[in-house]
Amino acid sequence: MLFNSYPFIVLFLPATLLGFFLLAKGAHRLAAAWLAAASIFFYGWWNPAYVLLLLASIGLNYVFGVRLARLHAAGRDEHAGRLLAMAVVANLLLLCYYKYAGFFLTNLGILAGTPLDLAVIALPLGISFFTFTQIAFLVDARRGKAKEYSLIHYCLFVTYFPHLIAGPILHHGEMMPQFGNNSTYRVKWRNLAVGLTLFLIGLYKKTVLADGIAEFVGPTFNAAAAGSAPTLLDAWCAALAYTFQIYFDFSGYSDMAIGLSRLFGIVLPLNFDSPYKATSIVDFWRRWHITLSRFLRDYLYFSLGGNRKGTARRYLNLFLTMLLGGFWHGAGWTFICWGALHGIYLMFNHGWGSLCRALRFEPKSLPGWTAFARLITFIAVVVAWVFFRAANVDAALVMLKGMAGMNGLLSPECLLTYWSAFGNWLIDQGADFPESNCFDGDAIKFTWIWVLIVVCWTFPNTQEILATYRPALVSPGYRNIMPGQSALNWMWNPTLGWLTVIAGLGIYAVLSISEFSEFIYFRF
Amino acid sequence: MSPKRYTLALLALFLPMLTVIPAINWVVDPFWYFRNIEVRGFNLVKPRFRSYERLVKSALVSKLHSEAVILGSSFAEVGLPVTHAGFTSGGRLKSYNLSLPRAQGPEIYCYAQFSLAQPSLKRLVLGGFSMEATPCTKYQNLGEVDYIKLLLSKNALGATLETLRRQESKQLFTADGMWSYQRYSESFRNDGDIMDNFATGFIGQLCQSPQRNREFDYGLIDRSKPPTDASTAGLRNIIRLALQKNIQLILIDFPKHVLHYEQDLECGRMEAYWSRLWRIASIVEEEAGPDSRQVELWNFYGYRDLNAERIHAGIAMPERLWQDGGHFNPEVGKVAFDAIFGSDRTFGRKVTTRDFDHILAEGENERRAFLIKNSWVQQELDELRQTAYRQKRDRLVQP
Repeated sequence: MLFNSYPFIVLFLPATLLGFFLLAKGAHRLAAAWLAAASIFFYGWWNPAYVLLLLASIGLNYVFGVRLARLHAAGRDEHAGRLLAMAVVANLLLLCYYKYAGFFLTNLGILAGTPLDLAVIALPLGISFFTFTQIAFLVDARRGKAKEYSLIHYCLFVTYFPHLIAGPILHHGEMMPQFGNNSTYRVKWRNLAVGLTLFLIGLYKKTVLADGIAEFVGPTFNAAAAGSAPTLLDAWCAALAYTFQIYFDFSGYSDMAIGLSRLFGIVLPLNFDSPYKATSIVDFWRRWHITLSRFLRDYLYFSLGGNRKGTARRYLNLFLTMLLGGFWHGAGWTFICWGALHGIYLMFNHGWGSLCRALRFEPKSLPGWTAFARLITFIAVVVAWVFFRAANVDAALVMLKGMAGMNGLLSPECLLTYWSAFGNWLIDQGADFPESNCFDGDAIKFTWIWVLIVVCWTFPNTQEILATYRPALVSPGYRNIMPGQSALNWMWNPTLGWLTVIAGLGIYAVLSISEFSEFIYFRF
Repeated sequence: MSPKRYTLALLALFLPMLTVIPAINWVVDPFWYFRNIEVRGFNLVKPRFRSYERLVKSALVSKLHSEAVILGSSFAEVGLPVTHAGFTSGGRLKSYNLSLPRAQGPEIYCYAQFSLAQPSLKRLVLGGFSMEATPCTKYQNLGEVDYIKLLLSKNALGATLETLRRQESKQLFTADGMWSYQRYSESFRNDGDIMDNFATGFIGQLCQSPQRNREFDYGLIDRSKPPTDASTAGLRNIIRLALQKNIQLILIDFPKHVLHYEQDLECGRMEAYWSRLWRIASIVEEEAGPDSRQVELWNFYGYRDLNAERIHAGIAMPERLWQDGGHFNPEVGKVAFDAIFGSDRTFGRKVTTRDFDHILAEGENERRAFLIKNSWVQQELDELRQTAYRQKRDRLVQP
């Protein structure tokens, strides 16, 4: 079931919400069990067969977790370490079987010169998310950080439908206290107002903005995959369109998840904080898919040694963390390239920081530096997205060649009629104007891109707009969003004006749910 | 405003939306699917039907239990009269024109399979088909309609508002699926405009070096036995389905304007045209027998007044028989249907391999006689080519 579908909005959500608060009047555990059962139903709607897999994964990890906590309490750390290793390996094996077995076998076959194809295995929805969530739980249990072990609450923690399919990746420690808190089970109009507002803004981002610009992405990327070479303008338009598609898709999903959860009185962690406003790649990863980068930092980068083993090892750890982060997104070379590219970006970023410190150079003090840094970061991110979206590495390289102007500097030929003397001057300088279709219908594409650039760079994000109501949990080390921080001081309050705006956006968004449209992150 | 009032007001705005908008869309019915309320000046004219006809036409064939269906590209949608007395067996058969603009062979093949699977179908007129079998994975949902799209989508609401607003405009579709295309467009004021319109459709007919006064080469017609491989599997499948279900299948080779026939001849394409016709006739006979009345192939090659309307005739667009070289109006289609479903054989012939040589010879004689009497054909052909070349050139540099 998708958040942006009528069955979800009209049937599932009202029934679950109503059932939850009605049962909560009797017994909180019953309400929590109801929510967990509804979440399992939500998951099973897609493929009932995989409900068993999900439940088996929850059952095993719960047993492992309880055992790890007991071992930790008894001071048997060595035994706990072995058990943790076994449990993590079991989780990763499950993930590898469903997600990576085909990839490894195919590539092994290529190396061996013999096709080694596995029968196609349907990837269970959200497997990457519920596996990572539970690995974090196991590590926390081993460290003695996980405190509560109610089976119903644990089951709800993993299956909780607002986050089950595409995150945010939750920490046991930030959710279990909320499930155990009596006030969670009382109807609070403030939560309903904030939750509905967040959900409708997210729905608008998804169905209007992300799905709206999506139509400009496919043709060029598909053509590149089929072997045709996009020109400079086509390639950049498609890359930018995808940059905004994935942004509004994922940001919309995150808003919807946080809003849905808030309806039930549960606050989820912040997952998105205007990433295209980042002024460096390090900053970007503090703003994009925050719960994943937090997971990678806490459970992978730190486990590899972090920055404790010297500069060279630190850079290697950074690179490996991002490489594996890329691979987490999908079993394909394009995702590996994307991760590797971000790993290299991070190495450069940290290297540049070290150099500046060594030279006592403060680039931020230079006029226009912030805008320049934001632009450079944005371009780096756009280039990396090309790998993320392309059907294969070859197609990505074809797109990048197009973006570099290697398939014709300017396109199409009809620009000459716009630029007349200037166009002729460019030709004299050696510029190429290949014959191709003119801008039939392209004006709308350019308008979309410009509007969305303005939205991403100048508008406050949803968390900033609702900052007064603390819509999301902020982890230590990430930006603490406070009211009045953004340049445009749009602060949501339950007023008639905001009601009109949100209702307008919401109605338009609901009416735009006419196509079956999945969230991009459902595939990971 | 308290959070409680805000939440309740927000819900109060949404709940009616889920009922009022579908109700409005159902009543106005911009896609002509529900057909419960039709009031002149309110919703009778459906200006947005064209944009969504692929969404509803196949579902309408199912819903209306159509018994006689026309299927093809826009040529069939514009020109084949769905209410023709012969086609509907004197009005006894419920008929519908399922043709779609820009439909190509693969799409028509899938729609034909869908049509032949309808329990109500008794007669199918099929034009614009190809012989290959192509996968229909894209067309798996034919006959189904997405009620969400029809009732609760932004597009449906937009179409409803436009329908209410544009009731004064000309009705371009009929309830039974026919389209008037450009016939009532106000942009055709004189013969020059008509020439431009002919030329637009003629760009695809241009060839490198047309040979004036080229003679038809009978020896180049391929009369070999058609293969039984994938290249003919689609047509064979359609014929077999029709035979199995006892449905009358009329395969139509659409009439063309004489200027197009002349261009095809001068470009050396007529031999391929007749070879294809021979192959189709052979397949029909192989699958349905030599004298089948259930599956027939009809051809409308000819040089008659009916398909030799001059561009410079000084006739206004609505009164013309041809909108361009391929789109004929229902007046032409009526005469074609008179031949197929009646006894008036002034235009068109049933094609069999046995009569093939006779049809060819008769057609060639007719052509020669016509051209002797009508020297305007070559003049208009030259002008048409020049105009088409000019349009092609302009298209490359126009923003």
